Amino acid sequence: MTTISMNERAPLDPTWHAALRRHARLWRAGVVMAISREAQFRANVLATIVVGITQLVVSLIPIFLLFDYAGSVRGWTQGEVLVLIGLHQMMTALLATFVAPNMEELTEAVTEGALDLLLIRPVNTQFFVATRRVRPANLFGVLLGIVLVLIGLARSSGVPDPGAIIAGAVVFAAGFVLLTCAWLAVATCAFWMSSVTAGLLVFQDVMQAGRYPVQFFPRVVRFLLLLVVPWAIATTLPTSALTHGIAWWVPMASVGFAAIAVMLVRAFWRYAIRFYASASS
Amino acid sequence: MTPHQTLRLLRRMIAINIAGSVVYRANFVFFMLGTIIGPIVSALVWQAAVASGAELPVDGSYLMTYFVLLSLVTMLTSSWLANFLADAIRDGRLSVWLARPGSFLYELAANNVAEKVVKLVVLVPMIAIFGLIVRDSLAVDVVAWRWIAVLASVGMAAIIVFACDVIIGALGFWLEDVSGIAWGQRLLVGLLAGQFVPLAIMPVWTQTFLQAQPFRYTVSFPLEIVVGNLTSRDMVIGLFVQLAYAALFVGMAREIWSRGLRSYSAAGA
Amino acid sequence: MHAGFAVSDMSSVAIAATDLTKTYSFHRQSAGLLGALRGAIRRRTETRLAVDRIGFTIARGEIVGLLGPNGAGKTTTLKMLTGLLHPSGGEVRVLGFRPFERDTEYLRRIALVMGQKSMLWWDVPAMESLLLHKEMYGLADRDFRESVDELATLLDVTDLLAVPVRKLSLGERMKLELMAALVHRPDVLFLDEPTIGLDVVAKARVRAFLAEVNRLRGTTILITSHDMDDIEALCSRVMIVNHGRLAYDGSLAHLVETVQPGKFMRVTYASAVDLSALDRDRVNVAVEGDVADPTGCVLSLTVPRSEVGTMFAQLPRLGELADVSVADADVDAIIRDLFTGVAAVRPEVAR
Repeated sequence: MTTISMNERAPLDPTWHAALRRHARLWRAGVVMAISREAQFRANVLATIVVGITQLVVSLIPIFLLFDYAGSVRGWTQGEVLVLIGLHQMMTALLATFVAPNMEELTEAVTEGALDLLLIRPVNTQFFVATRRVRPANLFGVLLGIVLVLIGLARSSGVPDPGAIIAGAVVFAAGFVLLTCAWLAVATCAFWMSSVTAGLLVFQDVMQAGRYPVQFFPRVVRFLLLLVVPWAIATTLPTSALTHGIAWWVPMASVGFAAIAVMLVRAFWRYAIRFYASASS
Repeated sequence: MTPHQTLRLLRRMIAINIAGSVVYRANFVFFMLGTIIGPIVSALVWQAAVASGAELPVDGSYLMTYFVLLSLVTMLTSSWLANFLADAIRDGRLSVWLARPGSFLYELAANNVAEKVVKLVVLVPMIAIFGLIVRDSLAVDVVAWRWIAVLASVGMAAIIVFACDVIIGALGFWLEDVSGIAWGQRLLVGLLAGQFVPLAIMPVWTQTFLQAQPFRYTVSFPLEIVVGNLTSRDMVIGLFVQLAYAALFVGMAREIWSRGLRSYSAAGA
Repeated sequence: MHAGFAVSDMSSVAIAATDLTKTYSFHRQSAGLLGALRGAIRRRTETRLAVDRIGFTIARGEIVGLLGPNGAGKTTTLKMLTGLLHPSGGEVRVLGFRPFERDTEYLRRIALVMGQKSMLWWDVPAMESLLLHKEMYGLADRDFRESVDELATLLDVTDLLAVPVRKLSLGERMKLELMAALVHRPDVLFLDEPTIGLDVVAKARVRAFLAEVNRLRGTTILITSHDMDDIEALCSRVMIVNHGRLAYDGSLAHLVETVQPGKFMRVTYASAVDLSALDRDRVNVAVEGDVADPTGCVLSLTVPRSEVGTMFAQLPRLGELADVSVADADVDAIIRDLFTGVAAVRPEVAR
């Protein structure tokens, strides 16, 4: 058998985009594995779907009531709010598929030492920890969301032009990144606290606020929904893009904001790992 | 066991459970914070609706007061034992309890009361802050003796919820997996109890049904007494109806529990 | 065996540590509310010396055991070698890299297996986890295939690769963990208590496999353990760590000769026992009960390791044998012995 002589290997990531490709392939392998896993538990998949539909229906009741009594609220019609709820549904489903399972595990990984087995891998640990587990069954919620968006558009402004769709999609994607960063920031506190489970639960409760346009809330809350838990960018702005259209600089600003958030969260993570590497045993 | 012995046992159980719950007080802070967010969001949304000219069957202060107090009443009347009970039945832990004096249900009740004591300490300041912020919109117009009615109503509501929970949990004597039913029941009851929207603003054609169904008397009715739209006559009638429902559910719970125990022991668990 | 290394030796040196030290500082806090308040105002910081100036050099292809009682600093040392912990002092280089910099090129050349902690995904077949590793380590299809086939044959797990991991026994799972750790052909393999919890047969298989991998691929292996049998079966060289210090660094044969740890045997008899056949000079015997008791008694024997076989042959002759258990002299005893001055050990100690 061949013994590979030491240090004679081609570098793993000769360029930064080679590194990107490797991480992308790694992520894809994780998705394949998740699908294979989920296919074994069909009852759970069915349960997830039923739960998703029921929760959506229940959350729609206040909206239907609301617009029984008022034609528009702070400038928003029922159709437009339905679009927003549809986008919110898509967002929560995407987060539940790709992000949520990892946040819950981070505490465990830190306290039980599973993190050690990840830190010795030649991959960006933060990326891997945040994205390795995937629950494809929740993607069904994205379908529900799309249906709702279409219904809402039908009832309000009709089909938006391609430019508006792209603008909305860009802001939506930026919102996804921002929410993930906020969530990850809370989960990273697990390095210092014995359990962030409670904090994560609160974070999920705040999800409910994203079901309504930020204009429904007083100024202070709108501020929070922009800078702390950015639902303004995740749902309100994309909805506006699809229904009324938004200024050209809004998608760019959202992407910029998302980039800053990613940098901050990465710095925070590096700080946490430094702490872990010097303080733990 | 005599009622006196039972009470002493309960008191001791509650004390132990309080001590146990206090350890988790940090968790309770976050947990309660989470439960208060929903009502805050609802309050703000409905306030925006009113500001936009919505003509609701009730005024803005009704809504605001309702939502401020909603999480308090929900917490005070909540119960969480269904899944735990079903699990204990399934994996045989119940047998351990059956060997002891004092029913397993008393322990569950003691745990329920104890946790609520700790949660109350945590929740009241949060609600107070919320209330202070929106105090201009609040309208609490309750005369002294009405507060007694409120307390009695909350107490009976808690009993109804607890009994329901026991019934669902006891289904574990016959069913493999109760968690789906428990979840569905929670959602349905939540809706009918006015946890998502006050029953008063539900569509007119549903009102007769909503006023009569038992789950109104779990969260909505105590709140209705405080928030003020009930006449004294309606309130007294409501209290009696609540009492009747409480007796009904407690009776059902006892029946199902004893039947379940019989089949459990027969199976030789 | 010398601490420190010459730069020109780099190509044959796998691991080199000099004065490696790790201290932890922690805040001592009194319990209760008053303590918490006091702690918020002024904290008492205490430091604990977990690893105290350890130095050693490990050449490529060696299999070295790191032995020591719990809390001695073995795992801390291992973590510093794998880059999980920053050393507080001293120098350490593995394959020429500084581990705590966690260079991608470094991490892809090492592997870590921790007994009790699994790296395999639970609900899916092991092959899926291996495919994930393939992407993680950027392995080419052909290299991956060859490596998997080689390891699967060595471990005899080819049939198990398609079975969900949760359905496998502990021993089978450990084999697959090892496979996953080696599929990317690391130059250095670190093992932390790899056989813990395994039954005797599984342990033997793991040891045989590790020896074979070392022979075939030249993989440098460092094992921490407090199981003497692991070390004995695999390692030509053993380092003993105690209270954060390197107490011994040398060949195992030398250690065994000088310290002579024994085996404890506990033998239950169902009849009266005749001890006259036992050589009481070589074997230490303690009796529970009375040897003359016709319903039997229990003997506790301390037997030199080399004599366990002959002892087994003798035991049935002493009486009607009902039960036998054999246990290791524990590491604490060995280390105690080491310190209570078997002077011949000194020259080999790396200091």
